[in-house]
Amino acid sequence: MRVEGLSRHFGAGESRVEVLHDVTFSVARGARCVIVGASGSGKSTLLNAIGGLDAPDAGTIHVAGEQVTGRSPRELTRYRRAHVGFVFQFYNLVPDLTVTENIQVTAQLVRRPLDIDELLEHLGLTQHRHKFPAQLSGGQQQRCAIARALVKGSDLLLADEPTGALDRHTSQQMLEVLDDVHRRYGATLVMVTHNEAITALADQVIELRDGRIVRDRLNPHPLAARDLDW
Amino acid sequence: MNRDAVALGLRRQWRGFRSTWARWTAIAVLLTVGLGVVVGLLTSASATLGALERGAREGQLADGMVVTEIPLTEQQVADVEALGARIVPTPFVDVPGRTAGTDTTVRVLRADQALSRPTLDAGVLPSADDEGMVEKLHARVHGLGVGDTLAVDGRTLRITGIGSLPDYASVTPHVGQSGDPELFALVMVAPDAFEEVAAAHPRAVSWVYGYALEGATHEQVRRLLGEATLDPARASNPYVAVATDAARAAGLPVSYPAVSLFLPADDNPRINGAISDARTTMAVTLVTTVLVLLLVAYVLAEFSRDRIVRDSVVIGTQSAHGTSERALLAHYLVLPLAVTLAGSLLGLLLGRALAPFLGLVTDYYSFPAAPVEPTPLVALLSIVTPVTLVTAVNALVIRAALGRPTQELLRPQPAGGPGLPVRLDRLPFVSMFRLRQALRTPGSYLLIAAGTFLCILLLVFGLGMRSSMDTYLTRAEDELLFHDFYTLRFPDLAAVPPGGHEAVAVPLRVVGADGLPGESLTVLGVPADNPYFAVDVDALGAQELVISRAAAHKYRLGAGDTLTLHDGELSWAFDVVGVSDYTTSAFGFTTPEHARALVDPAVLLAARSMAGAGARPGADDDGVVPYYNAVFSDQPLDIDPDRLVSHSTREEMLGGVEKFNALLSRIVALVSWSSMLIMVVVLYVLVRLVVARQWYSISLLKALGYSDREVGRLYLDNYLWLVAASVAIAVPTSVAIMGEVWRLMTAHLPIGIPFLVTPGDVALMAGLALGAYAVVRVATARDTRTVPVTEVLKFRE
Repeated sequence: MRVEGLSRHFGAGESRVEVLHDVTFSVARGARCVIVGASGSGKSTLLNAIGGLDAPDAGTIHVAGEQVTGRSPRELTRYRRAHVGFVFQFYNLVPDLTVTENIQVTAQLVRRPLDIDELLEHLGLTQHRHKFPAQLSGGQQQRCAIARALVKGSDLLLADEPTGALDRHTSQQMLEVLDDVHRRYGATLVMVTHNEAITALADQVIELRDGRIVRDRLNPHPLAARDLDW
Repeated sequence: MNRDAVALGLRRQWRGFRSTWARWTAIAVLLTVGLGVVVGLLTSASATLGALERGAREGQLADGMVVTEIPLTEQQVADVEALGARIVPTPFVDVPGRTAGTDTTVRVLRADQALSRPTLDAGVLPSADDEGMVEKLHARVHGLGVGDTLAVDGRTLRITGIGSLPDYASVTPHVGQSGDPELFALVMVAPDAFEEVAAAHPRAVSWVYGYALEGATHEQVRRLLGEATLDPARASNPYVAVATDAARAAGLPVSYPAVSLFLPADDNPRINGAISDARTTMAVTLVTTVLVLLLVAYVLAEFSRDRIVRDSVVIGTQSAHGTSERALLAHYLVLPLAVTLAGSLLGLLLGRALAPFLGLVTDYYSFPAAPVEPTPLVALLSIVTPVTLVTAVNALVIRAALGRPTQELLRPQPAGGPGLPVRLDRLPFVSMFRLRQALRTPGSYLLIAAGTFLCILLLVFGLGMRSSMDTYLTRAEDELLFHDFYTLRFPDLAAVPPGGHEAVAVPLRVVGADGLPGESLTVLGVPADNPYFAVDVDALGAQELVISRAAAHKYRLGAGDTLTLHDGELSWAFDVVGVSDYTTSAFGFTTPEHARALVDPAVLLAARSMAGAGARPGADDDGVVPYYNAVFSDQPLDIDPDRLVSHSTREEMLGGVEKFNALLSRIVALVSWSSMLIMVVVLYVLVRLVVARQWYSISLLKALGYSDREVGRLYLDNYLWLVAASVAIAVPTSVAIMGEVWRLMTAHLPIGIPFLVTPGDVALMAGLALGAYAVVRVATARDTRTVPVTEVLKFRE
């Protein structure tokens, strides 16, 4: 994935805010990239642009050799369908669908989805498969969200503060799950967080401040999630 | 509450309205249209009832009428008055006339009759011999006004007044028969003028008396006058004397009753037809009102619930700061109530404007002019009922929605809780997803189904009425193979009139049919070789009848049922063995022999005596044909009018119904268009509401990679099936409901077919419903397209 000269602003006149300013970086296929920054640093805007949810003012994004920027809404839909799996901070499950049905929502979008039963088993959700989101704990809901993102076999997994709504213990478990599925399914993982500690498990860490990259470093010795020290 | 707080509250309400103005406007339109039709129909019906009441009161409507062969003697009048009743002559003469180049039959009445007096819409009663007051329907058809002229019996009368008579709610030449006001006129003339006309046509005079009970009973009057017999020497009809003489010569104890018709006002279809119509209209309208208002109340309640979900955090914050639940309830009630009030007021105004055009009965019946204005009660109900209903339903819903704990309200969350624990794994994904949608918002689905049902009910009402009348007319035209139908009081048993086909007609009353106006059935004995009725009567027993479709429909009878008939003294129980496809009159078909057994033996004897002294009833000797009293023919016959009771033509029988049918088109059009509008509005506001509630989910699906078209299929195509299923259920149910309404509506008309909805009507209704859905689908697809894909990102701390 290659991001080049990306800029994005919101508002106009006196209320104009530069959220991203000339952001450029690359992420290797299959890598775990953590984008870290304080609230308002622009990390979520960057993630949304990579995911095709938002259009930057300037700059380009290439994923798997395809240019994401400059596409029509319809083309962006096709891009998300083919390449992107999202994991949101608040899980964003459809409340009136069961666990299996929530996963089916994205499985429908591709010709050859991954085996849902296998995913459920792997994520420890088999016994909860017929439950609705409201009947699950936060950790279980996030696992369901991860399964939903994975089931398409996407080559790009975007996680926006995936542990932001979880307690420490559950967060650790969640990172282990992400770590595990990353190893198992091999998608490129781009995770946005404000938690510096999480950067230890990344292959690449990008630090954002006020919409600019202040540091882009590779981590030669990423930790396993279970070894992470909060 | 201080002024600032009120101003702030109003600003919030205004902003609340502005942010979702389309849905509030739509619901106001729904209420305006629904109430407009309702108020219009109620106003029209209550104006009818009010006018009839006024006509009866001001015109001193007689409690009943008596028709006699000759004027009552002074002694007979005195005997009636000795009962405490008052009886006054209200005679009439039917003479030829001519109005605006059209030959007519004019019924001339005395302008000074003491009971059942006319009510004038314009002008004054006639005082000179060359003046007349014309009944309003005839005047309207011919465009006559005060000062115009018309010809009556060769003399020209100047019209001094236009008005109506209280016992001529429906202008008909014969009681119980539909008439044509173009060809039949009622003209009231000065007493001297009446005497002149009566003197010129002594045998055309009908001796009619009106009586006011004033403490007596109908039965007392009936019994007293029923005992009176006719003095042949005084009868103007020469056949009375002929028949009596012949009978006496044969040594037969024949005497004719002086009274040929005794009709209490309550049984008079000329009076009750309009009342029955108006009451049926009011009943149907009130049911419709309740349905419309319930629909509106629940749609508004759904809006309120939706507002509360959206405002959850604000409500939680206000609650945390100490705002009472009562204040919150009041806040969320203001907008629905304001919209309801506005819609109701506009509906009242629309109804007021529509009412004069909905006065179907005012074009069909004759009654005094009345201001077609909503009564204070209708006006009050049209405002108070919706406001009360909306307050009650909304208060319940809002209170329930506000009942969540404050900390829960404070937490932003997408709308919706867990779905129903139903396993849907085996369903294809799209079906599963749509079913989950339905299970998630069953209230909205029920409301859409209810709205569709209501609209179909209205459409069935409108289209079914038209189809039933069309079908009736077509069938009647096919069935009425004869051109002329004569009933005879003094049949010539020497021979059946050349060109005629004889029958025996015995009009009887149906036992147990109380409440239906004109509860009569004519037993018709027809020879097997008659060319006009395709009924096989030869195998029928004496206590068996094949009834016409008209009788089956009117009295809800079928093969295997028992039908009890009576003639005032005797009763007969018949087994209904079949139903014939004859829709224009309530007939019970049998053989002439069986029908003769129901005729008063004295009448049979008199008839036989006239043709051949000494012959016995039913015998076929001395060149005398068996008794008959009805003749059907395909052309007018040369029958002495003095022998007749009545003469009807095919045109007369069809004419009234054709006119009624033409008048129906206004109501059909109004009902059809308004129901279409209601369907579109209900579908539109509710589908939009559901889309608004699914804003988050739609955004999520878009973020996950669903296209706009796929989102539309998942979220909107559900309603296609819902509408289709609602139509499939609503059509037969509505037909069943309206069938009963129709039966009551047509009980006083010579209409004998059940409520019909043709395949074309069903196709039209389905087409309209699906058309409404298509309009809403296109409009709401735009809504789903506008859901921003980034909406899903808003649920973050």
